[in-house]
Amino acid sequence: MGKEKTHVNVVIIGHVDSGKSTTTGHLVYKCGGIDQRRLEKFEKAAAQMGKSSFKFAWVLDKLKAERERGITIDISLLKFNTQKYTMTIIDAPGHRDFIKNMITGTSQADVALLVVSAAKGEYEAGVSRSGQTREHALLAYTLGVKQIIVCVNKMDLSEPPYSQKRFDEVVRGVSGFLKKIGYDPTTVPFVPISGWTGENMITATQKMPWFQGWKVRRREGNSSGRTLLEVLDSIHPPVRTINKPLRLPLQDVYKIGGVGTVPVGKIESGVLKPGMTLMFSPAKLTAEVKSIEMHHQGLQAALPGHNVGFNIKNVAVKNLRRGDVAGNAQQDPPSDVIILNHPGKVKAGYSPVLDCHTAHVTCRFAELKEKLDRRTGKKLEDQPQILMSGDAATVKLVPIKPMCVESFFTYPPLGRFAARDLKQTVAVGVIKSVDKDHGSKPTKAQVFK
Amino acid sequence: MPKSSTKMSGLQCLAAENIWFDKQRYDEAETRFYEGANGPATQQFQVKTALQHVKGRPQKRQHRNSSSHAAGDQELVSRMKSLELENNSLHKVVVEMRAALQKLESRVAVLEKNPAPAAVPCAKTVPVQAAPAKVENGDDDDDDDDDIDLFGSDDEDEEAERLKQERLDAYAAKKAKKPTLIAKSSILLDVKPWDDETDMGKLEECVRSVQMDGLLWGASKLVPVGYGIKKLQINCVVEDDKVGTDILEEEIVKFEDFIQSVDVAAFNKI
Repeated sequence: MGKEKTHVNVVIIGHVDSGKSTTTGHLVYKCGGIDQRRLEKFEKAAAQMGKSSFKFAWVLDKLKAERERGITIDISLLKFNTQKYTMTIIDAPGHRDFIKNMITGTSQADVALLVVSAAKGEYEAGVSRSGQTREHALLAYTLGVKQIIVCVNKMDLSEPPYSQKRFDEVVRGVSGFLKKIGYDPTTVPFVPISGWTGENMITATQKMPWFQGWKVRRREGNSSGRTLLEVLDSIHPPVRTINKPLRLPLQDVYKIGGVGTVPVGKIESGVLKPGMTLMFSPAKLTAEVKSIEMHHQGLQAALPGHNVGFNIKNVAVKNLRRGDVAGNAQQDPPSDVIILNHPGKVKAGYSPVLDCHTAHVTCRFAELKEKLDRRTGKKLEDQPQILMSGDAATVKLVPIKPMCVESFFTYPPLGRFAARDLKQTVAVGVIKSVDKDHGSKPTKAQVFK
Repeated sequence: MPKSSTKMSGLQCLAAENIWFDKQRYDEAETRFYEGANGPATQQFQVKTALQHVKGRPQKRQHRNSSSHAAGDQELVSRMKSLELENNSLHKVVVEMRAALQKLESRVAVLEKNPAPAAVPCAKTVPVQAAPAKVENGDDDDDDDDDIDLFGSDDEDEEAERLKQERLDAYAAKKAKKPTLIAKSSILLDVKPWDDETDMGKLEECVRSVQMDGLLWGASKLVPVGYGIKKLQINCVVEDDKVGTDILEEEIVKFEDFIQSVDVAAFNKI
């Protein structure tokens, strides 16, 4: 059922109160994320309570309450279908650990949906210095989410309602800062919607006759349309890097009686097949793949995105560990950083723990190379003495023990990391280049509070 | 029927109210009377007259009672009445104070929020306070007009006006949803055992034995990985300010006899 559709992860970002949850709720509600039986149950209850006119809101509330109790692990609550894709929504929480998780976690976002409120005052608050709109967009860009969609929400609350002037104002402002962050505004679709009343969500509205539809120009071709759903359907599917060499960071290693050593991990690039000879870095061990299984089923080839277990010969469990990376050629690791949130000052010698794919290794800030403007990337200062929250810089990082990473530009999933200290994420970044086999990596650090 | 009865009781209420008001006067007279150290006989008489003006049934009862009793009862009742009044007014004061506090809180929240994300250190003087801030803000934007300021090119008047509006609205919005929600996230964890022989029931018990303030364990299921290995997928709801993924992971991995590693499979806002 819809299995043949490509899977896309959408992260919803935006300022608090921009209507993220309502908008996602609407998509999920209308496009089939919620199973029919539950929906009917809720709708019936809503009707009984005389709330059928607020059915949608009421159902959302119920679902929220249900999630709050944690009684369902049905992630399909946050899934919906477009014509071409199955989409999973990541409704970005404000939780301080979320960013780290977005970097090292298993589900990477393919597309960012930036929700901006057009309601009086809310747009201004969202893009003000204290607003989260810019920060989120910047983060999405830094983490390599190349496609971004902007919906101008709450058009029903603009003044006057459904005002073209207001929409234009918001578009002007948002495209201005998206451009500064690094996105090309001509590739960014802007859609005026109301997540609450549903204008332009699934079907085109009559209330904004001035809206001529969104258009984007991309290298891969232009597209246009009127509704948010159409935009989502027009995105470019994530490129699964099949043509690249294999990269498979290990999550766990098992010893199975009668089978032997079974490492498990998610393939980030390349293809894994039985009979291949693998090299594990940084352990520098080689082994042949005997068989592959996913969900207890044998596989003849495993592709990027697959979470697989495979059986190898001649390697003892104790010689492998979480964080090792399996490859079929000898290619090794790199790094790049953004410092998020650090209470003090960072000097050369600072050694936080780096989380990169599944590895956790302490790394030393060996050399602060240059301080950058975190928005433009322009160099501000050579060899800075200290870095503070809000600064960005290129830093040379040296891990205290061998670790396998890659340049962000060649293997994005293996090239982004979060640095942790004092039990919080103090920096995030990407690896610019790697000095192979020495384990030292020049990095770019950006401090950001 | 029910209508007439409600009417009746309404009338009675009104009547009763009158009585209570009047009563105070009588009580006062009574007190004065006592203070004037007059004879008990007159007192009784006074009370009686007072009562006669007042109620129907209770009057009769009190009439039959001894004078001292009647006086005591009445005093008690009147004191209760005044206490009730006082209580009411106190309640009102509390409500007022609470409202004032809430206003202050939201104000402080705005103040706190604004300077924090102003990443540029020199922009620490970010505006929030009503009147003087307006001016300051204008200046601010001129100083460190890095790309943050979208309205830098607008002229000051318009900007000031806009900012004012913005603040008002932010304020109104804050006020509108007074009961500030506790931010919560739903986290789906993958908990991995050591091998295919690990007792997954025990493993789950261990995981669920982790208790923290702001942590609620939800449903769970076993997901096949391969080669007979299963992982435990378990949902939990956490309060953002109280529980982090790192602590959670640390606590769970402590059961090292059962658990090899923990990964976050999904992380969502609630």
